[in-house]
Amino acid sequence: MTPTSAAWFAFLAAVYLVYWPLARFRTLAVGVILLANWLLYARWDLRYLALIPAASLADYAIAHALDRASGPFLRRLLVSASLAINLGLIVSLKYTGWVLPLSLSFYAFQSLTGTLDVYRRDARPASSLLAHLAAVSFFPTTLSGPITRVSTLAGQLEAPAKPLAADDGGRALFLIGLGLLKKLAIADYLAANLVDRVFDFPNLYTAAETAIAVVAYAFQLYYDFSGYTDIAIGSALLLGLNLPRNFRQPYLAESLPDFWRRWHITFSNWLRDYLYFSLPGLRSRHRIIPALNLLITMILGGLWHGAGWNFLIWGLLHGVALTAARLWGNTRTAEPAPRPCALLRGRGGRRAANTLLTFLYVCFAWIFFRAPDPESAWAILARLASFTFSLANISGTLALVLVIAAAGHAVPSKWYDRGLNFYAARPFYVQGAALAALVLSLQYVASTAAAPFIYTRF
Amino acid sequence: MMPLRPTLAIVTAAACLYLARHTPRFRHLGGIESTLAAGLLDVTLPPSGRVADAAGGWTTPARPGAIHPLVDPSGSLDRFFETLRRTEMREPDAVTHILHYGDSPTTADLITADVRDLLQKQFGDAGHGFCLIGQPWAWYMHRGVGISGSGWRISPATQSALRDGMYGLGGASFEGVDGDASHLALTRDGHTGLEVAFLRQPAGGSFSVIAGDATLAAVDTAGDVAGPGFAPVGLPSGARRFSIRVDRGPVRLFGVHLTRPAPGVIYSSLGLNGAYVSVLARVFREKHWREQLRHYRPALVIVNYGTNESVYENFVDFAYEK
Repeated sequence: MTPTSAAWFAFLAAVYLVYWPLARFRTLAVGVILLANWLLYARWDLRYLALIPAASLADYAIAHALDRASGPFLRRLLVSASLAINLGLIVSLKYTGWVLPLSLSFYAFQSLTGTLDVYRRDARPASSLLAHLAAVSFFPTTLSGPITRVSTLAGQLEAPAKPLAADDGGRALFLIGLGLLKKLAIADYLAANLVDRVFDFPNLYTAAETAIAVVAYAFQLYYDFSGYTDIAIGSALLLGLNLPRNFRQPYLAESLPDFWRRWHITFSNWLRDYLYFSLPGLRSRHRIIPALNLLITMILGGLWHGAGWNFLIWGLLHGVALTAARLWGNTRTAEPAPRPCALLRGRGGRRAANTLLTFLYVCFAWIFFRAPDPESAWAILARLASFTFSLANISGTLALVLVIAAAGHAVPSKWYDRGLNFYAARPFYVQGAALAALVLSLQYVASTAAAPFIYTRF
Repeated sequence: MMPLRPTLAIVTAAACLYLARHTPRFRHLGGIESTLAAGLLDVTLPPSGRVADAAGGWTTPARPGAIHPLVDPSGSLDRFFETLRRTEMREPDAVTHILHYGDSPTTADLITADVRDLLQKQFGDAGHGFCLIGQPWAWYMHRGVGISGSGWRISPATQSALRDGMYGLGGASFEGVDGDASHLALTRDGHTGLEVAFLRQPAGGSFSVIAGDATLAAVDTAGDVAGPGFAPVGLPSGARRFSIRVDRGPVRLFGVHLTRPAPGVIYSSLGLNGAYVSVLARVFREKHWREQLRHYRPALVIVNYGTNESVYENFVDFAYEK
């Protein structure tokens, strides 16, 4: 049951219809969410019903023990136990060949935020066991994020229920519709009609077609993952819960550090807060130590996607570039992203060049991320180096979808907000009919079956 | 506490989708089934025989002898079943043409010949269907049709030697010059129609279809632009052996289509040695293949690759269905 399937939305509607009448009875309402979480896992595989509750209960107990403990040794022991449980889940499900449909890495990352925050005294543990259990395995987030701090989510679950504002409901439906559109109309189309073909058999394509396929993959990945995230955020919002943003026009980044502040934000924040800051030497006098830590963080971030040379190279490429940027003191790009029209004026030229170079580097690294092994990545690079030119395999429709993808990614946030608020303010029948029309259109024009979300594999 | 407007919007959307699914005029668009909610509490336990699939659902591996009804919620097979029903009723001209694309196991027409026999026994025999006019590899054969050829320059789509991507219906192109020929021998009586598929092209030559000493047809393949050509030829009663010979090159042929004048099933076996599903998706030129499909009007197209993909785990898990 993936978030583009009819079963997912029937499930969500069922949870919604049971949750809201009970919302004022907080324990019951949170219990509904917990039941939904566990039912969803059971739908994937019944063995999760042993793993998830056991790991969640252990983390709850550890978090409370950490909160009470004052001795550094005991605290380290406790947090090590939590790390062992959660990292053990990731390692055993991702790297040891123990076959279950979900790797639980998003669950483990989310759950670790609970114990690590308490260990650092950044947050108190959830007082309600139910809220903790429901937060760590909150069903819209545990497939592919956004990774939400347990303290944030449990805090919302423990707070007295607020009625769902009509406009918030409209925004939730808008996000769900937008997520479906991104995934089914753009990501899956680009994958099926160019990207997968070229990455499977690069020798059949010219350098120009291969280059377009690499760019298309960049957009496929963005629309696939951000589509999932929109559906997850919309699903949570329907239950009155707010999840953090995960993307902010990443391909408009002017530098690689800027890119990582815009791409998979909750994951890069997690890496920064819980891995990078945990490595020794953060305040070392030697600038090389934090830079090396950055490299290690990115390599581990790469290997989290899979134990393969391709992910190692991908992490290394980002790590090396980020380290270089840090060493050169070139990380201060906190200015907001340029609007497309601003690129044409004044300093816009330099910004546009930075954006283009960053995008090209990110695309180059994506080759290793997408290729199943380094040999396939070399084959793609060899085709790019062949300098052959023909666009015979780029159909007009594909070019149009790619242009729409690029334009959609660059839509100014003001326009986006305007569209969101416009939809949210419509009467219920307009909202419902528009959503149904969108779903029918997607069913009619999209592939017969949606491809699995890329990040659910990780 | 129930949020009124969002709830009504959800109910409206669900009602629209349900109505679309159950209104014949809009059914092809999609919508939702009323049985959708029934599966929500269905959980899976691996020892029961179910395994998780890549899309996040589950699947039950086939057991020998078990009957697994086809699940076709979108009704995409409706047209096929309707055509087959008319064929079974022996309505005039009710021919159900099935194309079966496949890889090495299909090139020798083994499984497909059995399926053809079974279907034709139940629904009637409307002819052998499509076959190539030579053997691109030694184990290309069709049960009921002896095939031999000489002189042709054969380009199977699996070798993707032709940049134009025009491989006819069957995935192989036969380029011939003066004197190149193919000989086909049928083991069954009753075929009355033979249609040669060729490429009409500028400066195209000509070929003849011959049965015994008689020339049944002489076909000029010249045309202003390159495009598909089909030369229907009536076969004399009882004729079982015939030849196709290039009178004047160059000529480019794709295969022959054999028919009988009766309602029934035609089952065209289209095997390509070493083929991946990507051959159809990437090597065949889409426009050309579309024209071929339009001409042969199949009620069902079976895509039966996988042998050669099986060594690429990621491809099988994540890309094949697409």
